[in-house]
Amino acid sequence: MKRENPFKKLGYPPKDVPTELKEKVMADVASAKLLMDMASLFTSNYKATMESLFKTKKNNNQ
Amino acid sequence: MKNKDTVLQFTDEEIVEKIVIEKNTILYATLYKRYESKVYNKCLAFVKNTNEAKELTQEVFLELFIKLHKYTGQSNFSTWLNAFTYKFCVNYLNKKRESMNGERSNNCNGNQPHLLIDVSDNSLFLMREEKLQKAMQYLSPEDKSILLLKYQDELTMNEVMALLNIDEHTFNIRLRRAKASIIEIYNRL
Repeated sequence: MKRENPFKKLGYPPKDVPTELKEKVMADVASAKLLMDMASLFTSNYKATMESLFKTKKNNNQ
Repeated sequence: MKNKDTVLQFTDEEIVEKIVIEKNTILYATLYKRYESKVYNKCLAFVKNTNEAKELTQEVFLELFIKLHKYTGQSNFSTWLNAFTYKFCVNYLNKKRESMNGERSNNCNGNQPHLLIDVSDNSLFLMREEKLQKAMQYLSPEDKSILLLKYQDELTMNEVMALLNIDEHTFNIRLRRAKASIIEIYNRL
């Protein structure tokens, strides 16, 4: 006879999530997004900036 | 921005893709709503009180937003998030333990005597739920996470190996150790 897996019953019934948690999480996420956006100004556009700089230089040499 | 009903029809994978591209916090709130209970209750399995579980859940969701691009779609999002949460909890508890007594929890150590005991799944399934719940509190975070992935989330060996980024040998040692440990603790209670 197949026995019932007791691990499946752990943590049941699930506990309710505190309602104030969503606000805290979303505030954290908004701050993280701001930092990521600011960081991307200095990193992701760096390649394009350098490329355009060299293109200009090359054009000037012609 | 899409209207609320359209967003609700998106699959998790579609939402994740859009969040990674657009860094859209409104979509992230939708993802949070879908998984808050799951993550919070997983955290509760690792820490003793609700305040700590709350803090841990908050940190998991912040880390998730930052590392969401690491989800490559190899497994479904829900499974990946479970492993992500477990790994976060294990690291959190190890760091906490480290700061409290200056030592890390035991990792795989082939020389431990209880590794010689090979516990069958049938023996595990003989355990009573209430006593098992209590025994789980004394288990190391690493052992706890592998048991939950294998027996609560019912993932296959290959899925666990991929999610934890471990090879078959490490998986077998960890699972064997975790099973032996839980039986040992259970019998002592």
